Amino acid sequence: MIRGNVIVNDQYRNQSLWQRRCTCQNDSWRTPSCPRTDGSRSCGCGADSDSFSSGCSCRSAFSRIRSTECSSYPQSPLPVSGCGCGSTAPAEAAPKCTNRSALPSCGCQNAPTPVTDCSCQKVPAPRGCCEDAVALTEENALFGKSLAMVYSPHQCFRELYDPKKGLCSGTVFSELHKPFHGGNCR
Amino acid sequence: MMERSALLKEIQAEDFAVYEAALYLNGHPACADALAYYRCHRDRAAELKSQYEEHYGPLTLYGNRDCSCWNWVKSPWPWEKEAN
Repeated sequence: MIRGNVIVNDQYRNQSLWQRRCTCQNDSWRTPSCPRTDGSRSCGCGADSDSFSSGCSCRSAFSRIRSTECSSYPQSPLPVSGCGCGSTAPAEAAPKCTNRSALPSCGCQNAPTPVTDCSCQKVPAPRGCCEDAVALTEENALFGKSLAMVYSPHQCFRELYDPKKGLCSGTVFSELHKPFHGGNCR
Repeated sequence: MMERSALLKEIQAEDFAVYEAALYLNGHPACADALAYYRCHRDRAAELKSQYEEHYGPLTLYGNRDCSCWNWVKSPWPWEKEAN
């Protein structure tokens, strides 16, 4: 049945959980059961079920059981699909991509391994998560240091400017004299 | 005796050194080198300020040396040409 421009059965698809209500004209959004007097067990959504444990979720706003046969239950969000090139766009946005399965990623939006069977030809060169990180080798001063800690070198009282030069520089400590040069990144 | 503006710049430099030493000592209160530096420039700044106030008038409200006259208002104000 169509009301206005909206198909009645589709109103559940567009409504949030709080707004979902029975189509039997009962305005209560917390309708545990459908008080239809015509003997029908269906609230009009199209799913014929009289049990809360299964079937139409329209009968209870808090039901977590989804009926695969209930056409009025809101569709679950489309799974993230793609060829693993890092794009989270739905499959429809990449019609040429034949690999529809969502591949696990390390979270850096680059597939850990290249996908060779993807026809979208948009697979970036494989790169690890830690390529840009500072190498924690024995030559590095941060080797052995704990993560998530901030380290500040200890300042020594040395290499001082004379007071006049210090006044012009902004500091008497030459090690702290860091003039701003500006310009583009170099 | 140095000229007034030159003497004032010397005082500013010595005061700056004292403030730098104080900031360093806030984080390193037992540093002997820093304490020696602080004492040296503190005494030098006090000496220069005394010379300036003796010849050119008070630098602060505490520098008025004339018991009979409030020289603070007689010296040029910072925005006046004579003060620069």
